[in-house]
Amino acid sequence: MSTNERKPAKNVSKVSNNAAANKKKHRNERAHQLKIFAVGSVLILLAIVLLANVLIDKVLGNALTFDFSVQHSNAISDTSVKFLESLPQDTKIRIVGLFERPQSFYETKYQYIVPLLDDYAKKSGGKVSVEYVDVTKNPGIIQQLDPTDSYSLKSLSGWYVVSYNGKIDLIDPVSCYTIDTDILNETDSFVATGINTEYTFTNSMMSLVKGFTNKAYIVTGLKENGATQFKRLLNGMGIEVQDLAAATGFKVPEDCNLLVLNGPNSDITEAMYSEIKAYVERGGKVIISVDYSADNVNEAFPNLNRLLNEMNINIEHSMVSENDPAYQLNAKINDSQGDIVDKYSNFASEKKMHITLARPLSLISAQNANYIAEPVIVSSKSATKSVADENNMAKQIDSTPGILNVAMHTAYNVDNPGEVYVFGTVNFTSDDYFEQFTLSDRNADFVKSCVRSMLPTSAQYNIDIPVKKLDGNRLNDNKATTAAGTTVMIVFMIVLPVILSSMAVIVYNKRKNL
Amino acid sequence: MIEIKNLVKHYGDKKAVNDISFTVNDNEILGFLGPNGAGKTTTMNIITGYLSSTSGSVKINGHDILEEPALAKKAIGYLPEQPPLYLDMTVDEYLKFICDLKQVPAKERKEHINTIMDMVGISAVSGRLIGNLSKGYKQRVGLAQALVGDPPILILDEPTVGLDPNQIIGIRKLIKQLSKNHSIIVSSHILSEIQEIADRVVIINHGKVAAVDTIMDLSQRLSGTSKILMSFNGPAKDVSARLKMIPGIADVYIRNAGNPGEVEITLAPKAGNDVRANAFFMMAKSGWPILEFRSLIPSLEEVFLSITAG
Amino acid sequence: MQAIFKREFLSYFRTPVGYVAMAIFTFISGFIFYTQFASGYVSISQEIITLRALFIVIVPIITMGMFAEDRRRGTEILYYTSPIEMFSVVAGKFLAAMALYFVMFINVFIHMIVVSACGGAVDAGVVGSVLVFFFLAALFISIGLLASVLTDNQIISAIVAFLFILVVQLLSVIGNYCGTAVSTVMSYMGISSSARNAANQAVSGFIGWFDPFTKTEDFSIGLFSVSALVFCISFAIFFLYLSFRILEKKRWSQK
Repeated sequence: MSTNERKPAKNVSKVSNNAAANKKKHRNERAHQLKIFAVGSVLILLAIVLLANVLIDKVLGNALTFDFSVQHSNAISDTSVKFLESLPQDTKIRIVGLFERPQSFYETKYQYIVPLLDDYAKKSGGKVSVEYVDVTKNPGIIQQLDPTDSYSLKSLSGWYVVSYNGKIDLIDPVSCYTIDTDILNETDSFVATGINTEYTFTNSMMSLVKGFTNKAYIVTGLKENGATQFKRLLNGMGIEVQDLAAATGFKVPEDCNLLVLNGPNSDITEAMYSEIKAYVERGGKVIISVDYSADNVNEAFPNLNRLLNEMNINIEHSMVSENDPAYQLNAKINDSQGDIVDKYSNFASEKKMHITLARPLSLISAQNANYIAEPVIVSSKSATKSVADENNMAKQIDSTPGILNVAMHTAYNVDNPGEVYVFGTVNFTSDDYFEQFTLSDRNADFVKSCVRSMLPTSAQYNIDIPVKKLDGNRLNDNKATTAAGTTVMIVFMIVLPVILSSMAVIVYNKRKNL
Repeated sequence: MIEIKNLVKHYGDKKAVNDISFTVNDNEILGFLGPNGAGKTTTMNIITGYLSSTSGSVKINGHDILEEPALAKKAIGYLPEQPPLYLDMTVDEYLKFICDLKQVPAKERKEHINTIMDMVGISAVSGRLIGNLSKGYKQRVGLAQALVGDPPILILDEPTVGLDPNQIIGIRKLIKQLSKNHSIIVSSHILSEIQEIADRVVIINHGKVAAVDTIMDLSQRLSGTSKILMSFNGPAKDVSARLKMIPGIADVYIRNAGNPGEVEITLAPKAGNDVRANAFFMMAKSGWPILEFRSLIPSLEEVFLSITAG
Repeated sequence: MQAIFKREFLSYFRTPVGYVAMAIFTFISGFIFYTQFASGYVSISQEIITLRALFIVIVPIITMGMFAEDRRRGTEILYYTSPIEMFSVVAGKFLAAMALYFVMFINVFIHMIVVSACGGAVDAGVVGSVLVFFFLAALFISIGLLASVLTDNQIISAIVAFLFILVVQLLSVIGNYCGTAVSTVMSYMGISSSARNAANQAVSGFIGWFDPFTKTEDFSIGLFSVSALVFCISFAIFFLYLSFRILEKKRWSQK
């Protein structure tokens, strides 16, 4: 009762409103019908529009998308389509862009990547998925792709990760383009001349999917450091890895495609010497890395050197002292950069490699005419050799500065050559290095190329997809001269606007007085 | 021919038009009379299809405005109270546009426009901007717009409002002339204006038809009831009793007794009585010279009162 | 429809509005073109995409008077009482605005001729960009037209159109914010992070789905998607129909 008293006005008005509404309904049947028709037709049209759009977008969207671009830069070629078709139906390849899908990628490095990847997803029948995850916002993605965080994905924002069955491959968007090197040298700016996005991604998928057709053995038992990271690196390239003990009765297995001596701190055995020698002679591939560290300052590796000397390489019992400050890192003589020699410059995107505590390698000429040995990575011109003194301090033993070899390659001079890469530093293989600098480091990049160059992997897998030339927006310099530019400016920015403005004034004045 | 049956239009709870029915015959001018706010414009808007009625029907030459709007509208030329003019167009451009709108064949357009412009007298201003024309000309352009496409029915909402007397006479003549082959509805809130031109009158008030009448009947009805204003030189206090002695006079109101030399009174005759002669003789007999003596034209409100009272 | 189209289109050129709009468009497109030309690389697609940013300013100016002015002047009664369908009035006005856009766009066609004469590329991406430009213009003009129907004040109409177009332009951004907001709210409710992420993606994806710019971005690189065009044109038709219905409402409305 008290409530009623408090709000009488409201109740009354409510009642009268209802009454009025009812009355109106009775009286205004025609208006009511028209209203229902109007509102109804609008709603029905909206429903039709939404439904048709969802239908066309979700069901027919792909079928109704056409690539009219020159060279079909945004559609994958038949080669890739066939490759995808050849994969088992339950194949699940994830392509993850470590960034938010760009709203507008036009005129960015993603221009020829984003739509092409969409086309992969579209044409793969569910085998390939493309997603974009910002690592900083969703760090959980790292756990999914790279549980041990050996690639340090967090720092690779903007890159793509191709993931299959726990194996991943990293792709830098820039590597999907060929660059105009002339312009790069002249002006230091990147002008893309071609697109090899499809090449890059299809081959990446290929090597991940085809799995371990190659097998590498990493020798253990020579007091070396761990090779967990290097194993991951090889796995990522589709190479199965197994340990091989340096015990008595050492034998290189028949299925070995690559033998790795990852930073031994003690010399190889006599048996190993003859085994490895025979292995190389029958076409085996070997990567050897050593260094000059506190663990091995007294080790001269006589057996290893006996093996390598026969291939025209000698590991010296000293350390490379880099005296050129421009090459030094943190102003240290034993932590520096080395130059890749020209022949190997395409092995990595950068021209300088990181070397630490390196033993100099020397070329023994004319020892064995069957082998051709050559430098791969070298120091600056002002490097000298040092050894550790009693206090473990570097002591210069050779005062003449010169170029020292830090990495060398030697190959048996026949058709199916045995090959050996020797690194005077363990920065290309050791856990110590990769745990600090990750598998996306420049050295990892380089050593991958070394492996790739030796193993039939690439040749066997590589799908050849020609680089697509970019549709040139460049004008003909002879026609688009400065004078032409000035004419363009005068005509489009001055003459035409002025004519139109004066027409506005004329029309206004003329009509005003009609 | 226009047939309007039981037309009702609600605005919220208000009935702007409440059960109006009437017919306009061919070649007839129907005066549509009512004070401001009586529902004239609303009714005309419904007839022309601008608004739809809440209930009731409008048939234009047999076509229902709601069911066959295109055919019905084609038969109507409408001059709304505010002429729908584009001020940034010239008269010529505007009429061409109206021709397009009313689907006048392109071949006949030029001649058609010229005929209409001659008819309403705007040929001289055909090249001028409508915005620069005087109100009278604008009204005529509006009328010309209504004539485009030769619609057999014209609906003119207050066509003379705001015009000077000469212009009013011109428009009236024109409407008379058009009535030879058009059915015309002319609305106004001024009785005399309708009396001048209309054959019949529909009077509405508060959304209802108060009377449907020919002009003759209406005039008769009104002349009897119109009041008379008289001013004379004489005493104010006796005049009322004196005049009430005349049988036809119902009442006498003294309007201005302040000036002893000139008293103003109003005589209200009983319905149907002409008391003018008797009143004159009565004043003469009393020796009060009449200074002014005339019929008062009744305001519409008074007409409604008298009509509804009678 | 023809009558309305003719009147509306010519009216742009009876007043200075059309010329001024064209002068501004010519100058801005000329400026974009000239800067590209001077650098030696001309991408007409890029020019068109940049010009699309002008929608938000030009469309409200073109559409603000469409119906608002008619209502204010009382000329709308002509449309209601003429023997033509109201929808054809809407369509005529819409097409007139499109035609004005086309006339302004002639500039870009001239630029294309200059580019081909100077050995540059006028490729499928350019055709796609032009196509998208007009489909988006149709969508935005229909929005501006709707705004003009809703009010009889030109300025309010322009502001409504401006805001409406702004919202459409920012749909993806708005979607992201809404997604984040939803997941934040869910986190207060103690819902697991995977569900939150799913909700975030669902909400931002749903709102972002309506973004016509995202839908049509592929055209500039030569990827033509029919569904994007259908999207633009079907929503344009919807807005036109809605405008038509709102205009018709005046007839039967009891208010």
